[in-house]
Amino acid sequence: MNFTKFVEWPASSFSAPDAPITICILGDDPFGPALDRMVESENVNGRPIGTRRSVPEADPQGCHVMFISRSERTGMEQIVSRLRNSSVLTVSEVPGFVDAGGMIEFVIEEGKVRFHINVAAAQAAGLTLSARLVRVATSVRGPQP
Amino acid sequence: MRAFRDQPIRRKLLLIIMVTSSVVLLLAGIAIIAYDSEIYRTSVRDDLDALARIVADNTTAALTFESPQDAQETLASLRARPSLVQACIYSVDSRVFARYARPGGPSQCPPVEPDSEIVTAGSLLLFRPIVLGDTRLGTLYFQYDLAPVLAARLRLYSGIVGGITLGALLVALVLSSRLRRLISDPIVGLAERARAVSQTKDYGIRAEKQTQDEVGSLVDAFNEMLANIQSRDSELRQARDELEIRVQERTAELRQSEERFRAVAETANDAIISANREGNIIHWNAGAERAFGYSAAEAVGQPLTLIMPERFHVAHRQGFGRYLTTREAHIVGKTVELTGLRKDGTEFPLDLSLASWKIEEGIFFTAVIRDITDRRQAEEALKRQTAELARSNADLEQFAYVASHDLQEPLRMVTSFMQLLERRYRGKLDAEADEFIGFAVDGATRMKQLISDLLTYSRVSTSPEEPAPSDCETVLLNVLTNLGLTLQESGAVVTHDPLPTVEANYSQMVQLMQNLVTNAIKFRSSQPPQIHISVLRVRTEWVFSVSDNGIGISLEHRERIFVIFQRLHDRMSYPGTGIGLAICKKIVERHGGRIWVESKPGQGSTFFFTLPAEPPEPGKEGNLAYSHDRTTTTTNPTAAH
Repeated sequence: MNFTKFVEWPASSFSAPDAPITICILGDDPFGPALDRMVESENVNGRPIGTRRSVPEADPQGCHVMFISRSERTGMEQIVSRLRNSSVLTVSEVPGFVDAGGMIEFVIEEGKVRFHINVAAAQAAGLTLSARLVRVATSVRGPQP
Repeated sequence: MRAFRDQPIRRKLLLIIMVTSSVVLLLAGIAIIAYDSEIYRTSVRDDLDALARIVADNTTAALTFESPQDAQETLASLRARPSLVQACIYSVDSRVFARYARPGGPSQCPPVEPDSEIVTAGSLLLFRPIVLGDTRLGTLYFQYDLAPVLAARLRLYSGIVGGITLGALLVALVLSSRLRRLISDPIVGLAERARAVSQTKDYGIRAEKQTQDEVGSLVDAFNEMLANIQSRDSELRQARDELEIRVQERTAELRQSEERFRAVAETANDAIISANREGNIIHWNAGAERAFGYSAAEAVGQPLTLIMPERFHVAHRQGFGRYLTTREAHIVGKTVELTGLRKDGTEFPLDLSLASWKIEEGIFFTAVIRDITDRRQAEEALKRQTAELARSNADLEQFAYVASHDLQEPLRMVTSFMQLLERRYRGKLDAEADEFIGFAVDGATRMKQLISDLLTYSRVSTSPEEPAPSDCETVLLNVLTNLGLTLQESGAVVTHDPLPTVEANYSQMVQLMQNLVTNAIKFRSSQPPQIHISVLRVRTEWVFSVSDNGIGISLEHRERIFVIFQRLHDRMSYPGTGIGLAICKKIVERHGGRIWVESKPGQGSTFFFTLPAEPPEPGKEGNLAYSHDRTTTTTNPTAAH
């Protein structure tokens, strides 16, 4: 969810300047209602944040962030390739996600949440990742700012 | 400050100008430095603020994803700012998240504080929020060291301000040393003039007026003051000169008068003696030497009792002491007769006039003393002669009385026998014998009259009748009765004022008045006689007047008519022995009065006589010196009515 603040979507991704950023969860929801509570009062550059669960894999329409749950580990590569041209930030906790063409991959290191970034994948999808985010990332694929 | 006050105005002005410009420049310098440091601080703060914003921005991701290393790295880039002493990042829960310190800087971050900027001595402390979107992620802290830069700038600016001040002072010195003359030169000039005046005492000096300002007014006032002083000085000098001349004149006058007095005192016949308040002689003139026989050397310094008989010493000392204590004078200011004592022990009578005079040295006495021995002797001789004269007069009167009285008897015999001879032998002898007998009878008759008158005259002084109050009205009535026939014959009119009662011998008063009235009738003119008797009170006497319209008396005869047996006319025109007025004179004088006549020939005569209004004192009879003024004893009868 925090990633939304370091990511810029192309303007065409939103119907209006104050249209919400929608976080979609593909597969099993590991967050539960805690996520909803978290995003409830959030506001990123004038946009509220919304969530969608049980999104059909084939329909990423209206999603700005796509969290791919562990449960979708098997079809991960298809999902990523399918979303490659749809300006959707792909995030997952599945190991090897970045290698598989995903954009951000969570890892737990020393009890803290760390992540790997695939800048090239994001650029390909028309997304701009903040340099600050890139600097914090544990590892980066693709050209660095 | 005292030292400054005593400085010359020139230096004072210079000092004031220099101090003022220095202070102004310093203040301006300080203001500039203060302003500059403030500007500097503000710019540093703005700079730091911007830096803080960048750093905060760059550390949002590190904070979001709890990556202190990343934040540390970001902070480490602050090395480029050597003045940044320390930088810290705190998480929202105030823990130190990342930290940077310059080498030698502090080893620990201070506790987090609310967003603020704190300026301490030489340091700027900045607490700034780290925000991502609307979310606060933590706090950024900067500690910036201002001191070195400030000190460097202070040195620089001090140098600049000091240099400018120095330069400005130099310029001010040059300028003011020219400009101050505008003020100090006139004052210094005035002061020099004033000093010149006080040193030379030449009040003719004037200060030159160069300006129209306060100094100009001061110069005017100074000059006016000098003019006043000059005129007063000259007045004073003139007054002093005049005073000197006057003192010289007075001294000369004084010397003259002293010499005059000395000359008078020395040449005076009288003794002039001065004494001081102790009664000792201090001055003794030649007259005193002659009078008392002591030389000045012997007498000066001696007490006054030296020249007094011993019996007067006590009275002298008492009188002297009394005068000194009470100023009650018995002798001072008067002339008294006293007795003096000569050196040879003889005494002599003296006349003494005593004066006291008071000067600064005290009270002094001066006596003028005259030896009156000669006068006393002359007085006594006169008294003796008067007594002798009175005696011989009395003898003479006695002789006249006796002679006339005793002559009457043989005369009566001669007359009787001559008349017998005439009766019996008229016509029996020859005609010549008849004529001779007639002459003899006539002569005897006249002689009888003469003796009778003489007897009357001498009886005036020998009358035993005492003076008594006599009413002059009665006297006159008596006279008119006695003269009844004569008055009738001559057709005379006698008028009179109210007449007083006088203390006199009554029968002599009748005789006096009768003689005067008879006289007036006898010497009448062609007109019937008009006689008026009036009286006036003049001081202590009555002045009677008997006026007529007769022939009058010429001036040269006025005294003669009162002399016994003096006649002015021959017996044919006016019969009489010529004794009447002599008797009048004697009676009047015996009563202490005088008699005289005023007349012009052809215009009548007025006889005046006086009688004392009060009874004459015994012993003074005939000696009273009456002063009378004839114009006041008017003879006009109408005036008395």
